[in-house]
Amino acid sequence: MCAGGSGSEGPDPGFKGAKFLAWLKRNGAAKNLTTCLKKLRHLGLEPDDSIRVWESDRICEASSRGGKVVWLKDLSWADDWASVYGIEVPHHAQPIETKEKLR
Amino acid sequence: MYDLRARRRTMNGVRHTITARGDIQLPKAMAVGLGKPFGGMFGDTAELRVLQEIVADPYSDYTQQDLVQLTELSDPSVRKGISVLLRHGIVKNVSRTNRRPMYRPNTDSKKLTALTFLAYAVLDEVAGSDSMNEAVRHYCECDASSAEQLLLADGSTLIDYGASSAGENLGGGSYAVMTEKV
Repeated sequence: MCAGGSGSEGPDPGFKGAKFLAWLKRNGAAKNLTTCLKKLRHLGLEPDDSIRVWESDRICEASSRGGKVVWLKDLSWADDWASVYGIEVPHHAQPIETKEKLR
Repeated sequence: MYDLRARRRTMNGVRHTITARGDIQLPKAMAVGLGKPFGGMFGDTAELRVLQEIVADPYSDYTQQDLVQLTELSDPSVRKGISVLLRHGIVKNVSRTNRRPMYRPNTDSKKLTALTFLAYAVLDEVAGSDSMNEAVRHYCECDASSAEQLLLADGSTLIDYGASSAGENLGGGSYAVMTEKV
């Protein structure tokens, strides 16, 4: 199956949270904090519902060149949930209904 | 009192430094391409920033203002970037009115899929992860299951090329679809 993988470990970030994790991962697993906050709002999430409540050994705020960044440390956690929600790779084979559901 | 020496720690297999103030430092290897589209391998132009944003989340719809905010570019630069993506079929305008365009990534675009693999490849080279291989495997599994669904839908049967002398074995676990009406 394309989506719905099993055996995912770690807290369920929810669909929007999984989209954020996948976005961060495709941005090199680190992005400046300001942009991350904008993306969270674009997805309809609040930082207090996400980054700051997720475990810090999976995702955390870090410093880089004097600025603050969000760093996704646990890539396999993000992978697992991207797979569960069917958002790992955009795909021509995903049925139209699935694509609509993913938006 | 802070310990004045920075400490090195390993978490989830990733080595990082915790400064004397207790801040976690992003590994230097990851900081090199930070904020640059595709790790900076093609430079850092307006078009690339818009493209990176679409590749990073192809399951959302975007107004021009969304892209202005997310890319930190000006309106004209975003417009220029969008026009390139529209021309290449990577996004489409799904708005019913001309006044407020809404852009939706075209998940049927092979270019978009390939660029997703590239984004994973860039990460893998820096973080030592295996994301691209995982994504390719997932993509191939999806292709196979979709082929089976199509065959069920139109009442045809699948001829596995590996077992057929008439077909061409594509190797590497992939197969081509050939249908036969029952």
